[in-house]
Amino acid sequence: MFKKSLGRREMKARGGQRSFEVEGQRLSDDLQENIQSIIQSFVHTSDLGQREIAQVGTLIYLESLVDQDKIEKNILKGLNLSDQYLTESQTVDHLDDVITKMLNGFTILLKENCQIAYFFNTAGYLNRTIIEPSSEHIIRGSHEGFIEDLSTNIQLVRRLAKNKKLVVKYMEFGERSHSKVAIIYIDDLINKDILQELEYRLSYSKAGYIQSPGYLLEFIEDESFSPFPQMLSTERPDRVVANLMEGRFAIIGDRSPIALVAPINFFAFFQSPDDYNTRFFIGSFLTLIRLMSLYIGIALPSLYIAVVAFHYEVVPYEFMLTLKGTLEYVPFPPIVEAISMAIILELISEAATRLPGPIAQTIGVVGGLVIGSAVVEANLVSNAMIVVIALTAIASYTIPVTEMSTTIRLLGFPASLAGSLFGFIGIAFYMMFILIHLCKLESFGQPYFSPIAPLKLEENKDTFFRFPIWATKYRPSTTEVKDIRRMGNPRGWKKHE
Amino acid sequence: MNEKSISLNQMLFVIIQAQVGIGLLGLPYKAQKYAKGNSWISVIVAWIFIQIFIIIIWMLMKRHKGKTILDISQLFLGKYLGKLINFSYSLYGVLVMSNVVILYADLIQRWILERTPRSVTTFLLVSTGIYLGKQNLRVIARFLTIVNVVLLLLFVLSFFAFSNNLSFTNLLPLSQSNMKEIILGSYQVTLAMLGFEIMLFIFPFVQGNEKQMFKKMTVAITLVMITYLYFAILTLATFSPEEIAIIPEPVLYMLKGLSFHVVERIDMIFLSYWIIPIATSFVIYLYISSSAAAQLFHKGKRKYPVWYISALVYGISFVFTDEIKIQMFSDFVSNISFIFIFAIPLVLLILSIIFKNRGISHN
Repeated sequence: MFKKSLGRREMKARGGQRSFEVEGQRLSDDLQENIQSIIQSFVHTSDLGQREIAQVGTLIYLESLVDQDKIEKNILKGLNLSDQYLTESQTVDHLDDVITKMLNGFTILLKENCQIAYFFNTAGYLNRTIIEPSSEHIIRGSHEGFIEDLSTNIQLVRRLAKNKKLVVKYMEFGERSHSKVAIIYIDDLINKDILQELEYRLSYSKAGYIQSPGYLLEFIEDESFSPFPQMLSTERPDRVVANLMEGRFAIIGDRSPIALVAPINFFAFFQSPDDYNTRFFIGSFLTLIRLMSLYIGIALPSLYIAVVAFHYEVVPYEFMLTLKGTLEYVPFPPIVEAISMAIILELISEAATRLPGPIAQTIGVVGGLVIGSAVVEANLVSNAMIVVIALTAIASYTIPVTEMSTTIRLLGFPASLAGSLFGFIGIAFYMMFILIHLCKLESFGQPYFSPIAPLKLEENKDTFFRFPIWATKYRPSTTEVKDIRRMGNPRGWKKHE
Repeated sequence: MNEKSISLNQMLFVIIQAQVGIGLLGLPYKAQKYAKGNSWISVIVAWIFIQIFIIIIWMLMKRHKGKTILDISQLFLGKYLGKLINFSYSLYGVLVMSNVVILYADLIQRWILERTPRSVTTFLLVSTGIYLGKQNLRVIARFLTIVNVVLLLLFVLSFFAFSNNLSFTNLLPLSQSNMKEIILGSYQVTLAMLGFEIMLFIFPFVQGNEKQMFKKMTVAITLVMITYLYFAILTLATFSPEEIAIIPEPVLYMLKGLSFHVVERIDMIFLSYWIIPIATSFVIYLYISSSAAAQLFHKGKRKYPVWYISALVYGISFVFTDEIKIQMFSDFVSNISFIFIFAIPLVLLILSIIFKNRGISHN
């Protein structure tokens, strides 16, 4: 499956890539020289703190990153209490390591005539509290969301999945700003090929500054020129853990609340943790509604346009009269109406997102009510079109992952165009294009449109309907998990009644 | 897993999608010309013929594991004659594709888009065909599997046709056509069921043993036969013999007659969906044609031939525009197709049996 990548690996090892690495400089015997080289490394920055301790050495740290309290309480107290304190702490002997430690909020202790430096964790960050992510609200279930602190995020994951095989691998990216990234997976579930492919792709991710996992996403995703997201980005720990348990991996970056999950399939974007916290009738109903909204989101405007522009005869005569009545005084062709209305709607939603809460509501009123009714009264857009576009927008907002819902609305534009040019035929061809594309797409070598294509009937228990949880006894085979069995027979008691 | 390998069930659906296409819409009309009210018997007879063809293909491919017809032809007919055969298969693919495209453009113009130029509607089909055709076999098989939903849709829509006045007496008496007429009718039906020759090209890529494959191939053609039989009977019962003689697409006319409170003209909605089976037929022959050309000129890479073959087909579609020319071309393609689905495999099979020890795999 990954033959292609193996061949290229060698090329990279020979130095095909530009290396950002700096040659390592060791610490010297001289205390003052060491202090000077650290100051030099930080280009005489003003927030570099120093504190001399008699008979011991010099503490050096970045004031802005450390908690002064911790220095007082832990280090100074510890040094006073016993001479053995230092031996318990950890050491480094390279200048670069010293710098990296300091950038992470550590305090360094340098001693006279000593080629090693001691470091103490004194990091003092301010974190926001754990709240529910605003983009992924649910009704029932856990309301925890990731925050901007990596160790807290990993803690959230670990607390949900108490598993000794849960592996966290730290990696650092960005040469001008060391961003720590954690790769999380469950060792006895994930397929090794996928992991190998991930590490191989990440080995190319070299850049000066990696702001967020979003950078990494664009570096490692399979196909950049596809409208569909090929990695699930989520802020919910429960969603991450559920995916880890199906043999996927997650990437969480420090200072970012987003976790990227792959290899993912298309239908995962239509599932919400809510589905699994309610009984299966409701869960299935909601899943169906969302998949219906997928179709409405892409096709409804184009179908409407095709009907009024080409195929009058498809709808009954009375209905056609009603439609015609609203269209009578509108001077534009339906495609212009549709596109302009859709753009207005995007404007309103974008403006409402950027503005603070209370003003955003005003935008809703002004945009939705005032513009909506005004354009109809001015005969710029027909009533029917307003209904169609509003329905489409609402449908697209039901999709639980924002990226996918935006994608759906984006895909609606070419659909409208196809509908207005070629009627139903145009829509049929456009849908075919999308379907072929979905069949072709892969996420880390795994088919994206699974379990529909390739069709695996027994795995469709969670696609259109959410079958009762006890019916999904096996994990999806597309991630090629090592242990396919998810559960035993939770309803076994039924037999013994 | 090989990038090309497909599962048994995918093979089943590939065959179904290859067979079902534009032919179904006009099926009873053509068979009716010869077999009259007995044209539904012709469907069954055609199925028997196809079963025989399938057996020939299966026996040939079974003797040469891991080889497609392109390799086998060179094995027995020598380098040059073998290459000629392969080239003719490529050409055959081009002709069938052109036929599909021409009939499709004609159908669309008559039914949905009267004023859109044929070159534009053809372009839509060809470009979609290229996009799917240039993918590897696995992706093609995935797509061909899911689009079978359209066939289900056709069945669902057809249930509404039972609200028409159906007179099943049209099917009787059984003696209204003689054996010769029935076989002539079945010849027409066979033409509408072409496409199973894709097995000559994908046989080595299917995961499964020969017995299972034979079963699945039989299931595929039987399912197609049942579909065709069902629609033949339904249209024969819906329309009187006089009516059928003058309507070229009885299935569409049957749907056209239905109307509901929400939707009228189901035929148009249906026809829009029916684009998909038409496109899949196109893609199947694009696969045949391009893999033959790729083996001849591009060391097996289908990347380039997909483009120029499609361009060639697009060019050919401009030549045949009026009804008589279309009919002539269509008949020509139909007649030569028996060489490729029957004659060549049979000759190769006989050669393979005579020269037993040549190139038979010993695993």
